[in-house]
Amino acid sequence: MNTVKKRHMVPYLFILPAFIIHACIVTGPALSTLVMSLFDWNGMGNAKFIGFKNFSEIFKDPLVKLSVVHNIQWLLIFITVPLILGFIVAIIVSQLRRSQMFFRTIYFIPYVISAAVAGKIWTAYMNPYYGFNQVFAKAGWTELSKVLWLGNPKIALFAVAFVDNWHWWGFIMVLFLGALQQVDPTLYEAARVDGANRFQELIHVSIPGIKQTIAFVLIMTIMWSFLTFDYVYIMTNGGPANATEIMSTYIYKNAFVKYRAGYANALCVIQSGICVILYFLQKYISKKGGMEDE
Amino acid sequence: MNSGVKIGAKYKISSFIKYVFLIIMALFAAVPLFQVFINAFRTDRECKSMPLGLPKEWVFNNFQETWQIGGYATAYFNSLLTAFVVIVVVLVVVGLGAYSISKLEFKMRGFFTAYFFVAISLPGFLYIVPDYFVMNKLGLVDTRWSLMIVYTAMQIPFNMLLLRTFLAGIPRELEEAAKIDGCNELNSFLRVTLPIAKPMFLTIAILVFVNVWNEFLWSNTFITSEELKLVATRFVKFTGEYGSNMARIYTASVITIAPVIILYLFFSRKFIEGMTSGSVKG
Amino acid sequence: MKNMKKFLALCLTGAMAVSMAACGSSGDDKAAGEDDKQTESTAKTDDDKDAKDSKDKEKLVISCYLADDNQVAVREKYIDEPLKEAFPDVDIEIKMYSDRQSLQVEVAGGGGPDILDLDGPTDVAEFAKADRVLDLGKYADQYGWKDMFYDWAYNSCFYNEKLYSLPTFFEGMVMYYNMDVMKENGWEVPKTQDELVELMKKIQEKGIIPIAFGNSNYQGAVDWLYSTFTSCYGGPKAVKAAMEGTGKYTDEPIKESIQTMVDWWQEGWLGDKASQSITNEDMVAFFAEGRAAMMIDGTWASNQLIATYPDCNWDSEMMPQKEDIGEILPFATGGGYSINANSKNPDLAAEVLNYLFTSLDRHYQSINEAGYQPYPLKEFDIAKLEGMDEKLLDQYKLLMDAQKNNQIGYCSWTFYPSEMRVYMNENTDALFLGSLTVDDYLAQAQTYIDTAIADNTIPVLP
Repeated sequence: MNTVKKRHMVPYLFILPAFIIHACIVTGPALSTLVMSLFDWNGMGNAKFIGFKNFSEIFKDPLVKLSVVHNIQWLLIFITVPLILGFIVAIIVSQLRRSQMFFRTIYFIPYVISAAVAGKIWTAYMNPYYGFNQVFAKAGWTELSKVLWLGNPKIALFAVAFVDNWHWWGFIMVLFLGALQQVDPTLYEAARVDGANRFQELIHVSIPGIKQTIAFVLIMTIMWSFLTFDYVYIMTNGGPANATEIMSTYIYKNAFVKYRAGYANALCVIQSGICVILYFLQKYISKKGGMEDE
Repeated sequence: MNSGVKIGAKYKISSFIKYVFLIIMALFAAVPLFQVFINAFRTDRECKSMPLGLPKEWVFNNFQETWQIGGYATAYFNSLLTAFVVIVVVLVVVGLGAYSISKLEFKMRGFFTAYFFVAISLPGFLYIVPDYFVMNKLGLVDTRWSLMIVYTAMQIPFNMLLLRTFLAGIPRELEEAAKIDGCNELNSFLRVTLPIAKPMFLTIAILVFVNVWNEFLWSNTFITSEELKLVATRFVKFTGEYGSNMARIYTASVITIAPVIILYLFFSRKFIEGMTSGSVKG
Repeated sequence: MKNMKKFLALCLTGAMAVSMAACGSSGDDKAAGEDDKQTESTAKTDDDKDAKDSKDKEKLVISCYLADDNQVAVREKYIDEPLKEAFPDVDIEIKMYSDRQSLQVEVAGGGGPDILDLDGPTDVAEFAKADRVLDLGKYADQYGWKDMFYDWAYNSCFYNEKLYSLPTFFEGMVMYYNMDVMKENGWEVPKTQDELVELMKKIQEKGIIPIAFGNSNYQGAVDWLYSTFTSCYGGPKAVKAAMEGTGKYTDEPIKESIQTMVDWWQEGWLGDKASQSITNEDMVAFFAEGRAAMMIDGTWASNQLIATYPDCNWDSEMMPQKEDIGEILPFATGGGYSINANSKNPDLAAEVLNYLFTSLDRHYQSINEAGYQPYPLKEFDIAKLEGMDEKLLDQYKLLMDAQKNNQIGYCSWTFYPSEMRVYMNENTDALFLGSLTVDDYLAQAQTYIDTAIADNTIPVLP
């Protein structure tokens, strides 16, 4: 074997272990289950082939439409709030010296806690009889003290999103912080020599320096907004009256509560499909906008 | 002279506002967790009738009882062992893979990148049944191997992409220089990229650890023997739909999350050190 | 640096080995997946698959619901220990399942516990549909189960004319009263629906929640409510007629009873208009602490009240009656024991089941000392329970009397088609919040009855 050919093989040798492990344990089995989307199947046995009936049902199912709308609302929240908050805090924290570790640790800790524990605590906080509302009532904000954070269909989704943000933004912050610290310090020096102020530094050095991380966080947020599950499942489980139903909780319900695993699998196809489309859409847009992350 | 004072005052005010903001955010992050901790010292009844606030009387035997009932000692060992193996394997395969898709030119690069993005969108319940079926056939169910294998596979896509993003930030020139010095690809990865990327590997190790530590659906399904159960599975014992002892749930939460936080604190010190010593210039 | 390299090299070999192993597994992964689908269509019993266990003691796993450690301690005393004594050659393990997902995955993946403790006939039906649980007909003949159980309970375990489970505890929905609150305010326990309505108005004026209810952590808890309202205020006759096809679930009496439930919720009588924001635990706490005066709950809650709130002075009665219907107690079996089709030793599993239902001394003791719910056995003699906690005894008497006097109502988890129950559990909150009309709700529910009648899978009502 000559060296040229060898060189050619190296990238494959590097990527294959990860690819093979993942394909064997996740993708392969997942594809074998996806076939079941063509069956009337309760998740345990005796599947009946029904062709594309599950899919045609999806397009008629009003709950699917509702879930997708909720996912989009979720996306709009998560693509703004935690990103902006995380970015601002990362910028501030990156300028700190002694207290940096303290803050980054505190902010990151909510991410470390499992959703099961955090969800329980926050549900208690949002309880109308002994949560925040009692504090509001004492403060004299009667209107605010009557709000049913998780019980009012109009508010519930935002209340859960708020909690998920609590757990999420610190992670984003740490990602940004890590990227900021990777930016070549000589660039800042050069900017300062050119007489740039803090804000100009931010625009011309910091942001371009971490644009790959920003692009990555953006695409991850977009995809995860359609996959999110934990906090909604634990805090409201889609309720009240489907006001917080999202794709993944609806899939879960079909698979494990309604015994409609076939239909749930069809929904999974749609969900993954949305993610794939979004991925390529994002890629196309960032290429157009010169934000290519390669 | 005058303006200097002004700037100083302005600077002070802005840094004061900054700190107030940071501290408010810190309280926002920490208070709910503090409540978990507090509730671990209350009676069951108090937790149920008034989950928020300070205990009327401090109860200290929750911990001892929960520790004993939960059988946490072996669970800690199992979780740590599983996490350790998963972290090592994930770091190796993801390190190589991410290096490959971020630094090397080859035909299928786009495919692999897209593959891992798409892979993230596959929910666990799609493959849990077939995986269980196969592992049952292979006799892997109820062994540590089953979870190690599954967790490793599950952790690959996201961390691969994260590391790829990190690595892409490292100037290619450094590796090129190493190669000119006569290093092969693996050598330049080990000698140049790895030392710079050490803090990133630590970040990924922490992320993997957290996920493995908190995961319970798979561990609850795949492990049935008492002596092989993980911490999260133990914890599940304490969370129920109804008829459960809330004080114990909070105590169990503390027992479950304390090591994660301690470990994180420990590592984040290293993390910072890595940051300052292994900067790009170094 | 050098160390690092060595370490990495080591890791690399390790990783390779793992990925090889993983690869090997994936080869037959797909094949196995297909295999799975084929075998799913035929009920299978893997008898001699694992030879390695035969050397040790035989192992038998029984699934059970999640419980706190008090309950576990009690269970160990009254179930685990006696079982070990009765079957010294068998290694019996009782495994807790926190949610249905793990259990379902294990069963679907060809494993799982030998004896499944399921949610009751509606739940068992889904496992039966997939041939994941065994037809117990053979064992029923062998052990004479038919004559052991009350007919209503035994008959509820049939799906498609085959016996798939045995009824575990039997239970009913009752109204709980916090007697301290009642006495303090000079209120009498109401006898009729009208009296109840009057009382609720008075309670609400006092700033107390009339009937506590919360389902934020378990949405399906609404089935306690609609089961109670349809049975007690719509009447068991109307429900039975709907299930047998001689009437409709949309008929006036049922519609009226559901409307009553919705009205009460909207008045704030039932859950203070915030039931979606509070949990089941909150609900019991509110009742026990006197924040609410009453609570509609199952007979199982008494145990919980005694254990967690020993100083709460409560009482329980049948729902205040509607004149033309009389007092009704909605009945249910708390669950059903089934035998997993994957079980390696179904005969042994059946023997263990039979032991549980025939070791009556153990059973009486468990009721007496730990407040267990009784098995629906004909032989069950309430006289053996004299001397136990008065309130619990009263409740058991209530159950027995209701059964004797044919005041039986129908709980959805025992007597409704599975899909209908799922639909109603999910959409009752929408009724309360006004985003769904009673007519649409009942019409949709009726469609599930129609399907079940057509498929001949409609549950048998006593």
